Amino acid sequence: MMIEVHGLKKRFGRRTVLDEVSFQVHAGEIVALAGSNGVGKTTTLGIAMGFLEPSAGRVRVLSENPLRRRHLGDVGWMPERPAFPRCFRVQQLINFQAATVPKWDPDLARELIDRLEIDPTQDVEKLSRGQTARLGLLCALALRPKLLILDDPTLGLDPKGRRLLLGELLALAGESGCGVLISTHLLTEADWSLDRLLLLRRGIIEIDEDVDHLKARCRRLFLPHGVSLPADLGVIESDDGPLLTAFDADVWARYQADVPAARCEPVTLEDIYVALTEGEL
Amino acid sequence: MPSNRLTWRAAITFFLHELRRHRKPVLIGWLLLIVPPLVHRVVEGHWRFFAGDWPDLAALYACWLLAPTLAAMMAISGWAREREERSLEWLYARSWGSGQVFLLRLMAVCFATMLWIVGCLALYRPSFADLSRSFADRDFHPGGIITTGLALLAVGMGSGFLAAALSATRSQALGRWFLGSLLIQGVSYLIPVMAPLPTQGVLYMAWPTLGKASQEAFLWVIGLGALAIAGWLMQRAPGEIHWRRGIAGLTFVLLAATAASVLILLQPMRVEPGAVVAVRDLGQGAHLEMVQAKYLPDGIYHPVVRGPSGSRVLRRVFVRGEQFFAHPESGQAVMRSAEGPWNGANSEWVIIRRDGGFYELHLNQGAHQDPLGWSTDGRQFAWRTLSGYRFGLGTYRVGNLLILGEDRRLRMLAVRDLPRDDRNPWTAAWIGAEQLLVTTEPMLYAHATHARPKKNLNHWWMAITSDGERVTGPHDLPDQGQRLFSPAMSFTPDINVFPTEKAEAVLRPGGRFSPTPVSRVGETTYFLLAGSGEARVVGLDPTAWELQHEAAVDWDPGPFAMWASEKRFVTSGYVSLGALDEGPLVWTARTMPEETVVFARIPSEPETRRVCYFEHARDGLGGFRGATQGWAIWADAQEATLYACHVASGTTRHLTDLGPFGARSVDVTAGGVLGLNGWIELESPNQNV
Repeated sequence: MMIEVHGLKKRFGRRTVLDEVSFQVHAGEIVALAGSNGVGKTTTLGIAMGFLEPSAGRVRVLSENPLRRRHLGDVGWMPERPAFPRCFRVQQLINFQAATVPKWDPDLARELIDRLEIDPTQDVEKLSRGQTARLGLLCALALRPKLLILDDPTLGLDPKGRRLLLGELLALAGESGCGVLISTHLLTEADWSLDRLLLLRRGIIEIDEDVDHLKARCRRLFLPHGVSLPADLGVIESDDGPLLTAFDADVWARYQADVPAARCEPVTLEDIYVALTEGEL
Repeated sequence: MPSNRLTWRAAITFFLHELRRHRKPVLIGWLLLIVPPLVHRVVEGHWRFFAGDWPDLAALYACWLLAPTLAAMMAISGWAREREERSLEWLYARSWGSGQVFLLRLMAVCFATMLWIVGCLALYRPSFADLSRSFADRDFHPGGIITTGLALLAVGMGSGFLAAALSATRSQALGRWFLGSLLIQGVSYLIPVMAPLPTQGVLYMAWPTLGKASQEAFLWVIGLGALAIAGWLMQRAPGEIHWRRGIAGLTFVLLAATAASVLILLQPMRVEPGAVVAVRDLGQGAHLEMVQAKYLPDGIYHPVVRGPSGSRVLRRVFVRGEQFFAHPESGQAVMRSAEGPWNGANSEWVIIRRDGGFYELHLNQGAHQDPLGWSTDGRQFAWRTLSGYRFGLGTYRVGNLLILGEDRRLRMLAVRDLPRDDRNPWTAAWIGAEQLLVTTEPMLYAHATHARPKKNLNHWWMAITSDGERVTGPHDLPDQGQRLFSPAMSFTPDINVFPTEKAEAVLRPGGRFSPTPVSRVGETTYFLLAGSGEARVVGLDPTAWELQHEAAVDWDPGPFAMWASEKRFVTSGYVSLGALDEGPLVWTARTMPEETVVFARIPSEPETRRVCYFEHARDGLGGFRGATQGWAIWADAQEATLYACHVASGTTRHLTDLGPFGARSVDVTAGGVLGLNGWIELESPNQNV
């Protein structure tokens, strides 16, 4: 078990951010933690990293209490805005990491420099947002982590950069076979590689489901004008149109026999996410 | 499989990285080190008050003012900068304990500061002995210079870390640190003045080392408390730090308030006198009262000296009764003004008691202006003179005390430091002394004084036996404070015997006698001996202690005698000596108010000759600059003028104006004078120069 969270609560003063959050991340599994802004994704990841102390509940990362920080040598971490001390050049930073991170793999680091097209002679201070993100990715991966914890690593990147970074990241993670817990809003770019989706809503994990299964049970519903929504098919309304959340081929066939003009189409993970978080900021 | 624990390599790399981050503060610190030499050059060029103390003052400025500030700056740049750069999480995303990270950062700050301090010390080469003496037992100073330095560094780092922990950016942290420091300083100094609290006796009793107020608690509590809080705050990469900040702020305020309270309660200025438990007659209308100090433990007394006018002179001094009254036959108080290099306005009051042959002194500064004379209890002994000097930062270092007892035998004590600051009574109380000498012969006269050319402390003492023989002994002490009080210090009584008539010539009733070496020419050290009717210059060979020269000063030496004995500290009296190449001894002496006389003692002539007279030569520290080729050279610093006087003919020449550098730029060498504008040849009295 990479991550095991049970009954996690986190309060900041009187405000409860996390309330009875429970989930697990297994080895080799890529899990997306999704939710609206401010719902507690970063807090959850911060607790998993050991940066924050939970108010209640049990959290184990690589079978360790994260507050003891012993797991951090095997965890690749990438915050939503990777930032490094500005006094370094890229190569100096990599050298620093190599000296201070116990399981740093210098060969892999060199390979990642080429693969991620990072200029080692650059001043860290002068790196662009995308280059900084790539450097963060390098730092997260070069220690050959057993677990990657990524907090919205593509935030602020342009679409091309997002796609490149996310694609590379998840591909590399897939190659290394480590567990991944990623907080992201970019489910479309990521859904090809995601194994499971955790939807954090109102302080709890509302959906914890295999992505393929989730996509299989959801369909975008198209109905002729004047036809009311079928109550028995598990439909939710959204701005993009009604979404079938419990698609079943037999039930659908029977319904279509009654309403021949009705049709449904597969949806992306992002469609599902948007529909489920409708009305939230 | 590599361990996730902190390895040496990782620790060293991290440490070096931290050091690298502190480059700028350290570089700025190095630049600031230029300030003391600049100040020295500018200030000392016109005002020689610091004399040889400037390296000490520079080190003080650098190590104990700049260093804590630098430490605070480096500490501030630790977390606040990373929070500003948002790189804290990256830094903490490694498997070490956050305490280890904190420790490494602390070490880096300490190391960088220490490195800087070592550089300062190497640059300035201060006298640790002097600095320690000036720091010891003063308010806000925990003792010696090292302890104080460490306390200040703890305060600097602690406050810096705390400010960094509580702030989002460096500038914010800097502002908070600055304002917080000012606030604490203000509170520390203002509240004790404003709040009369009578409970300090309880604290005195509770304090482990009765006899010392120990305000170091304030420094240590604040510094270490701030460090502890900062460390606690930095245990985790901040994110939820808001509530912690609140608690930390509150804790720090409470801590500071507690420390301030301790400071207030320990203020010794708040003592009120109680009942008079003993009275000693000091003679000449003065008496000593021992008063039970209110709010202090039993047995702690407050001596009050009342002069003929009833004035109180020892207001904040405490003595321990068990010491003072333990030996009724010998525990008598003798108090009078110390005769040293200070004028009467800065009289020192001394209590002497004897305890089985060991003497203890209690010295404090008083404001009593009524002369008590040579007060003694008339039964035990009287002290004759106390020599020492005032260190620039306010501490007296006292060297020798010669006591001429009732048995007329001379006792010589080496006395330990006498802090000038009397706000802390315990620091001044019961200063010990070591007995160095008890003469076998009855003595007529004893006197000790000192000369302090630059940083060397030269103690001289001189005593005259009752049969007219003179006993002299040198203490030539380089700048090594520990040697000053060593009983192994070499002195040689009965070194030299002078004819009785010479001693008598000096020892006119009521006269002053100043064996201060006023100059050295070749192997001969010259002293000025001045009585009420005459003054003499004697030259001694310090290796053989034989009289080399002796000459009477044949003019009214009244004020001059006074000046001679207070030479170093009275600017209006000045004596200097030199020797011409042909053999005559030449000296100049300033008289009141604006005259300078040049005398010469020529071996072939029976009497000392007054060769030159400068009527309008004003007070000038440049003074007599030496003699060469038959010429005595006088430089008037105030008029920035160089004069020459031909000894044989008495011809006086105005040589040159010296310009803004005055007499300090003049050097006399064989054959001429090196002045500001070049070399001035001095050949014969009739030749133009």
